[in-house]
This record gives sequence, structure tokens and C-alpha cells, in this order.
Amino acid sequence: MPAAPLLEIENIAAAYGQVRALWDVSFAVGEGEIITLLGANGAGKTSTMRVISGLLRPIGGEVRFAGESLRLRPSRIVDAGIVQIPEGRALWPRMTVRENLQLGAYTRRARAHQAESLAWVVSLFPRLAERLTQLAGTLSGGEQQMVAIGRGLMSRPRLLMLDEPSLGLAPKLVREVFRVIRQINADGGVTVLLVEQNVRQALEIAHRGYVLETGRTIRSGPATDLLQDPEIKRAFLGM
Amino acid sequence: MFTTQNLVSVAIAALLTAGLYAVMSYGLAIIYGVMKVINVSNAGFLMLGAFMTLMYFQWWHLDPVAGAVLNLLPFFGAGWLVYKLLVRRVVSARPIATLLLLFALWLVIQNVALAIWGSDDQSIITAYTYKSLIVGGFRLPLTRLIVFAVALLALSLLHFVLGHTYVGKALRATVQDPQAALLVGIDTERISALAFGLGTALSGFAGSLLTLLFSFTPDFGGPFQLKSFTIIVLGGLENFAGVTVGAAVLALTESFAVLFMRASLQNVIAYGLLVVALIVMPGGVAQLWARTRS
Repeated sequence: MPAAPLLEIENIAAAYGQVRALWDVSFAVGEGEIITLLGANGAGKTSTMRVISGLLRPIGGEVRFAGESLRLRPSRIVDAGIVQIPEGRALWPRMTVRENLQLGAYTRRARAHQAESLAWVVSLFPRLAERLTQLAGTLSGGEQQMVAIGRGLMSRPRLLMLDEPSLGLAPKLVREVFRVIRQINADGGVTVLLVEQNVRQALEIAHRGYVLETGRTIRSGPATDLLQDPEIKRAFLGM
Repeated sequence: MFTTQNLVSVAIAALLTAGLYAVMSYGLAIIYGVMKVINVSNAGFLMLGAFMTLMYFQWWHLDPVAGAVLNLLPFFGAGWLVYKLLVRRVVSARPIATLLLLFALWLVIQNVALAIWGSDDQSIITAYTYKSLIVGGFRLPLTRLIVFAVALLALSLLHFVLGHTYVGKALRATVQDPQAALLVGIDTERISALAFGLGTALSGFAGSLLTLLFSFTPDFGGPFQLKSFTIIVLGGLENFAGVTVGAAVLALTESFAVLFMRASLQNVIAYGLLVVALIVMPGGVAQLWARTRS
């Protein structure tokens, strides 16, 4: 691993009521890395993110962030510097784009830098500048995804978790989203944890990847190795 | 029999009532929106608001409008406590649990009120209770005008808080998508407590205003409660602007119905409208509006 781990996941297990979702997930994310989690539907990628963001309480294992055990309520986890952009964007449809972004900076730490963060988000997605007063529910899918990512950035995270950010977008917008993720990482210095059905593009921008299967981490490696791996090719790249 | 003069005065009376209806329903809408709980105890707090206003009036000759303002803080505290001590523990259980809990709370409040104040009809007569203003040939009872103005002021204030403050926006965000709210760091638990406090404060406030227009007993919250249900269903349950529309629709329907049927049947209109709304347009006026536009 190139850098000191910012996030360490150790033997996480979690369940929704009686239904077990995670059995044994372990991985680490170094400061400044882009890490992608691969796996089929139901492998536990989203559940893993939900554990990290505090929405799902693990029944075993430990999450450490910046060296400290992370057993906090979701609102405190955002304050600590972790933000999750959920699948399906989950904007507030009857609020304006500006309000959606403002609320992204809800935590006290982020609120002080609101104007700066907004300028950064608009520089990443210039198109949002003219949409600020529009209701979020009236935007196109691509624009909604931009707002969702922007809202996450407004909290000034150290770790940005993206769950299927390109889902349902036109190919041109997919490229745009990946370009921005790379930019957020390279220029903004934000560590990224990415879950993507678009495995090839995810591996192209990621430094390393982990493969999950039925709630367990079964493989890991540098993204370039995973891209060449025959098994990965067969399972995720359709080759 | 129906002169224009007649119809206009009915319409004015209806709109004056609508303001009060909106205020007494807003709390219900906010609480439902944030935690998807029907606050049946609202009726109890409405009644308690009225009786506290009577007490202020008897102790200090305090005007009911001042009583309404005075009610805000203690009723906010009471609602906040009800959430922290009771609702929070059952809010994730099946809806019937909170419904029964809050129904029981209503009964407790009602019976405590009966024990303290008895079942006699109470009313507050102020210096202006029987006065009216003549505007453009229409006789407008002063109490209705005052209640309307105060209600309008309260609603404007509420709209400002919900639309322009961080906490108000956080509350609306929690209504529209609670999980997204959690993910940006909004403490939805705190917002819920706040919403219950705010909703209860509005009940206490509305209860005070009701004393300017009606006499009351410990049983009196019920019919108003049902009107509030009708209003928030008409408004679309989670749509705060819809509350105002729902209040206007109900007030107009009730007032014009009186031209055709006995006044004692007025409540039938509210309940009838509730049934019709639930069956024909469960999404309320807002949904109907959206449907006709698309």
C-alpha cells in the first residue's frame, strides 16, 4: 500500500434483521487513493458502504478511520470526514439545487466553508451554475448526479464514497462523471471509495481494487493487475 | 335567496376561517412529514391550549392572542418531551403502536382536564368579542378578523423558518428523504424531537385562537382534529403549501354547504370530504395538480 491507511475495515459482519449481508469483509484505503469494490449484485458492496457511513450497524468487526475506531451516529461520521453518495442520488426533489448543496454543508465544520465549497462544486460542474434556483426534481439524471456528488463534496470530506455514480447515465455523461472523480481525487486530495457496475472504467481510474463475493472479500490487487486478470475479465468485463 | 352579497359574505367568512384551520393543521403535517406519525394527541393539546388561555385570562386578564404567544414555549417543551419519552421508543415499530400510544395520551390529557376543570362549557368574553367591522358593506366580526390576521402572521413566520433557516431546511430535507438527510450529517433524531415540539406548540397556539371563536369543554379537540386530518389529506400529507390549500378547500366547502343544509350537519362535510379525498385523490390537491399538468 502506497500511503498510510485512512480507512481500515476489519472482519466486518452485518445483517438486515435476520438476513445476513456481510460475513467477513476486510480492506484498507490509503490516504489519497481511489479504491474500487467489485462484486456481483448482492455481494455486499452497498452494505459495506452503509456500515462505514453508519446507516447499518455491524454485528462484528471494526471500522477505523484516521487511526480511530469509528462507532458514531451517521451525523457524527459526516463530521469526521466521511460522506456517502448513495445509489439513485437521493436528492430532495422539492428543494432547489442551491438548497440541496447548502444542506450538504450542514455540519458545523463544513458550514464555515460553505461559499468556498460551492465555488469548488460549480467549478467542477459548471452546468450547475445556471441550475441553482431550479428544483432538484426537475433536473435530468446527469444533472441530478452532479448535484449528488456536489452535495457530498460540500461536507468537505476526506473520504468520498460513491455508490454507482454512473447508473442510468448516457455514455458521454458517464465519461464526464469519471473525469470529475479523478479530478476530485487528484486536485482536491480527496480519498475515494468507488462502487461501479462499469467495472472497466472504475478500474481505469482506481489505484487498487477489492473483490467481494457473498459478503466476503476474496481478492485484492492493483487496478492494473485486476484489469488483466482472466477471472475478473470473465466475471465482470464480459470477455 | 342567494344574492351576490350573500355569497361573497359566505366566501369571506370561509377564508377568514381557513387561516385558523391552516394553523391548527400545520403541526399535524410537520409531525407526519418528519416521522410518518399521525399525532392523535394533537386534539388534546389543542384543548389544553384553550384551557391554558382561559387560565391566563382568569389569572392575569391576559388577552387570548397574548395567551397564544405565551403557549408557544411550554407547549414546545411538552411536545419535545412527549417525543423523547414516548414516541421515540415506538416510532420504528408498526404504525398502530404510535397511533394507540398517542390516542392514549389524548385520553389522559382529556381526563386530567376533566378532573381539573369539569365538563362545563367554558368561554372567554373579551371587550371585542361582539364587535364587528363594516368593510365595503360587509359585516365582519372582529374576532374572526383578529384570528385570521394572527394566523396569517404565524403562517408567514413558519414559512420563513422552514424556507430560510438551516434548521428549517433540514426539517424539509428530513421530510423529503430522511436517509439522504442522515447522509449529509443531519441529526434526524434531533429534527424529530424539534418537529414534535413545533407541532405541539402550534396546537397550543391554535387552541388559544379557538377560544376567541368558540366555547369549549375538555372534549372539544376531537372535531377540530378530524378537520385537520381532512386538511392534511387534501393538502397531500407531506406538502406544507398544500396545508393552506386544504384549509381553504375545507372552509369553503363547509361554508357553502351551510347554505344548503342545517349548520349542525357541518361536521359531516369534513368527514365526507376526508373519505372522498382518501379514495379519489390519496395524494391530495398537489397530486391532482401535478396530474392535470403532465
